[in-house]
Amino acid sequence: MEAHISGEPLDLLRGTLDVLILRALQLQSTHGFGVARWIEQATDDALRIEEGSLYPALYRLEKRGLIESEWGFSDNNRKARFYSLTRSGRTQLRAETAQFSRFAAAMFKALAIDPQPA
Amino acid sequence: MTDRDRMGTNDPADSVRKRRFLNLHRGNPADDVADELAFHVEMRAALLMQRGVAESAAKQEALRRFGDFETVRAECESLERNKTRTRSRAMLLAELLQDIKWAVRSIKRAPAFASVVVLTLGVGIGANASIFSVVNAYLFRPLPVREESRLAVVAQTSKGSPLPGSVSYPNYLDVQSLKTVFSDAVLFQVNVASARAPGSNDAERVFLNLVSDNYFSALGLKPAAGSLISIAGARRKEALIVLDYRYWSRRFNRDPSIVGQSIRLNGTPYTVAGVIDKSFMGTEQLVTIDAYIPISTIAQFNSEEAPMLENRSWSSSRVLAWLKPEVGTARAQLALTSLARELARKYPDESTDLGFAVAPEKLARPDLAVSKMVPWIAGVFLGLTTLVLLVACVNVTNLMLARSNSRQSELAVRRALGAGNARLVRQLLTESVVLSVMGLMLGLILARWVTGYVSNFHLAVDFPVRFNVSLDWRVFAATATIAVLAGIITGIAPALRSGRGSLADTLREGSRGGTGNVLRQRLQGTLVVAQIAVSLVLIISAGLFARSVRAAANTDLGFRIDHQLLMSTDIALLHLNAGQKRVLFAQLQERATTLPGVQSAALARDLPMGGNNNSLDAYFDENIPGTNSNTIDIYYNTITPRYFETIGMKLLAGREFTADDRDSTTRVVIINAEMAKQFWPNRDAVGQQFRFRKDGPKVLIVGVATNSKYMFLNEPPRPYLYVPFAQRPTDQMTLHLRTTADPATLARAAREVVRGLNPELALFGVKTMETHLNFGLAFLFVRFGALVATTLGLLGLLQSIVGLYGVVSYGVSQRTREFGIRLALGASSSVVARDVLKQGAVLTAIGLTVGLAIAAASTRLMNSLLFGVSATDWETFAVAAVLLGVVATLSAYVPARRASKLDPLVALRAD
Repeated sequence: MEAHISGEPLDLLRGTLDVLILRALQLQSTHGFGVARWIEQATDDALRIEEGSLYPALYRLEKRGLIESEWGFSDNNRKARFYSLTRSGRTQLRAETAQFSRFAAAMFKALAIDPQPA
Repeated sequence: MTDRDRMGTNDPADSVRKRRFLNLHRGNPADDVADELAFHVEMRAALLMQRGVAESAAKQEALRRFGDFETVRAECESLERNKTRTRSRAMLLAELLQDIKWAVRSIKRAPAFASVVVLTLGVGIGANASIFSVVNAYLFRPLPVREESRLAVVAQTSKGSPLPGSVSYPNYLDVQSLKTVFSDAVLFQVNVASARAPGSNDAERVFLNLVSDNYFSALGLKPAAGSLISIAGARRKEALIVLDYRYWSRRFNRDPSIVGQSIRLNGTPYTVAGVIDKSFMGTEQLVTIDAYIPISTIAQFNSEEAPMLENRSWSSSRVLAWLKPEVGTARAQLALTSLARELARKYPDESTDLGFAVAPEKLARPDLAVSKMVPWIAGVFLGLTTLVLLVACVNVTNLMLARSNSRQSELAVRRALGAGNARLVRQLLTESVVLSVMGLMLGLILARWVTGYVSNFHLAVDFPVRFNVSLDWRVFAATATIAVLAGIITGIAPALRSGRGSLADTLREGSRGGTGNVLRQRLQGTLVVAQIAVSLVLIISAGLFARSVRAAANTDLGFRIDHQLLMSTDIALLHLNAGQKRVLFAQLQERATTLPGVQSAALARDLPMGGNNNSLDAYFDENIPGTNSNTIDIYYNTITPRYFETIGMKLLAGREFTADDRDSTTRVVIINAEMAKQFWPNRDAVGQQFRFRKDGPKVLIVGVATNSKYMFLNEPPRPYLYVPFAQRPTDQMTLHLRTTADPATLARAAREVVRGLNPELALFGVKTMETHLNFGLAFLFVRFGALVATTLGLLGLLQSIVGLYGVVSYGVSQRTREFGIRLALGASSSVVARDVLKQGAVLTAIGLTVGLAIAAASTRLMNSLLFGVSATDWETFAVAAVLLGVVATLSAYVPARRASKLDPLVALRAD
């Protein structure tokens, strides 16, 4: 069993999975399992994703033209579908990253403030 | 080893290739989804097992982590089905865009190659579009009138002149009322008038159409200004005139206030009713009409010709009739034939030999009489231009082949990167289509220029020949089709070839390796042979036309071409009586004769092959030999004394007219040799008599002139006669001057003579006889043919040079290493050069042989267009073959020299 670095894995926020997939594919074109592995490693297994939910997300992203797929062979010579980021996927990732950073900054700021005495 | 490595990223290039390869073999969505999900679960299980988990537990854990496998599978499957549908379309588009980008990039990389290809194609397409435009303008473009598809030309025939010709006004009315077959019919005839615009003192000659009452309404014409003449208005014989749009623009600057003002035609005021819409250019095929007046007003405009409205034998008009729905020309012909029979019974004097001919309007262009020739002429020229385009395509294919060879390595790399054969073929195809489109644009620019040039072409004739040639959408569509086909043809050969060669072969061979495969050489050889053959056919055609022009210039026209000045005048506006006309022209002749440098002067109504021809009825007391009729229609000219001396025409018997042949003396005529032969065979024609009307006075033949060419260069000898001006005065005469010096230098002096006589005499058509023949109608067909064929021949020659040069240089570049080795081993450079030359010479020889055979078989199609030269004239064939042979050898010489000058060291190292 895998060890988690700190406490229980967190449930994914809505829409976050898409951004993670785009980020995974920005670094490396790979198959669905590759994406799952990257998310595990990159988040130190802190995020819990139900691996099956990755695929509908991948298909939807492809339909939106943010990623594209091709069949090929994995390194153990198994037939696998490889995903890569398209140009509009790259743009989308940049936009989402910026938006998420603003969101996170705002959250951090809000949460760091002490409650005002009544 | 890190996890990352195990994810499948050890060799990017390798995995990319494998992926692309598989991409072509897409399975069905359900299998794809199942495969993909199963792969995930297996990979997870394998990873767990690597970390020491037992196989069954690993599989279980993997499935657990995955979640609800069946739900995910079902969702993915529906998404996948959806996706494949939309993607296949999007992908095609994306790939097409990519192909075009790639094509443009690769064209940019080889600008010299691209420009040669574009130029070659552009010239071929341009020639095609131009010729097509001209043919289209005359043959295919529908008249912009009501129900043009049912329009038919009705013409009159007679035994004397079996060619369909003009119709008389009373006969037109009968044709119009043949309601069983025609719904309506219009009549029109060309007439020339002196017109004086409001507020102007200068008279100008205008070309009128005298039209039937229903002309404007039946044709459904629209006015651009004012209104057109109604049937009722025409019946009231109102003196109204309708202007052509172009005349309105040229003469009145499109001033709408001209409507309501009056223009004096031969002195009679006609009120401008309106201007016809721009799209209508008249129902005359060859002449530009300036204005239209109702034929019902002819008495006011030209009283001499007024009897034509009553006279059945006065046939001078053209008739267009609308066939009723479901009536064909065959039925109309039957109805017309029975009408002719009825007319012959009712009016035996005027209609004995009468017959009618009918043909769909589009098939009777430009005139029913010559329309049988026109498709031939058009066919020959279209055939020739198609040959040029074909050669261009062959050449481009050749260049593409040569280039695709130098790109074998590039293509091999692309294939290695995973591009499928189909994709490569498509990419090469796209490149050639892009080149074709560029060629198409160039071609259209050329065609626009050429058609513009033709439209502004002015003939040295005294009537405005219609040259309204413009590019329209039909031409564009035809040309675009040709261009795209050309692109596909040129693209397909190299594309298929590059698709066929195997990767290993190409890589092993290296970019400039062996001597190329046999098949490729054979293909290129065939192309060059085809091209030389086609070029030879073109050059031979050009040669035949050129010889026709020479023959036409040297032909015995029956009169002298040199040292003759012509100058026409029209005295209609002066309103002189017959006596005054005689005095005026006698003075003109006398004064002109005294000009220094003038040997003799005379006047005549018609110029030889000038497009103006008039005929009269000759009536004999007995039947004409070989017929059971005693009247015949004969073309004639009205001349003054000394005409034959001045024009240089021989009199075979009798005398010229003299000043003693006056109105009051015996009617006299001079006939030509053909008429003498036909009517008085084996007898002396001089002294014989006949009449111009049954009840007219006898006319005495006083002379027999040699046969001449009266209307066309290649007309057979026809009966012709001359009447003295004194006995038949007319308004329009042309002064002929026989000069000792260059006739052109006398033009000014001759004008002064006319001015001195009467400053109001309108002068036109001042030109030498040489100009009249060379730039007038006489030599039009052969000259035009020669021009087109020479242009095409030159294009063909150019194409052959490009083609052979391309192929031989390509061959040399292929064999660089071989030549290098041979030179290094001590072969002399001349041996190498000879070897290369031999390659070109063999191809040239085969091409010439094939070309000669094709030419021998096909040039006879042009027989009817040629003049004075046989279609299989061996001298032309020989000269063309030698010319092309020499040029071909020269174009092979350049690469041969290059091969012999190779530095063996460089050649061998170059790989």
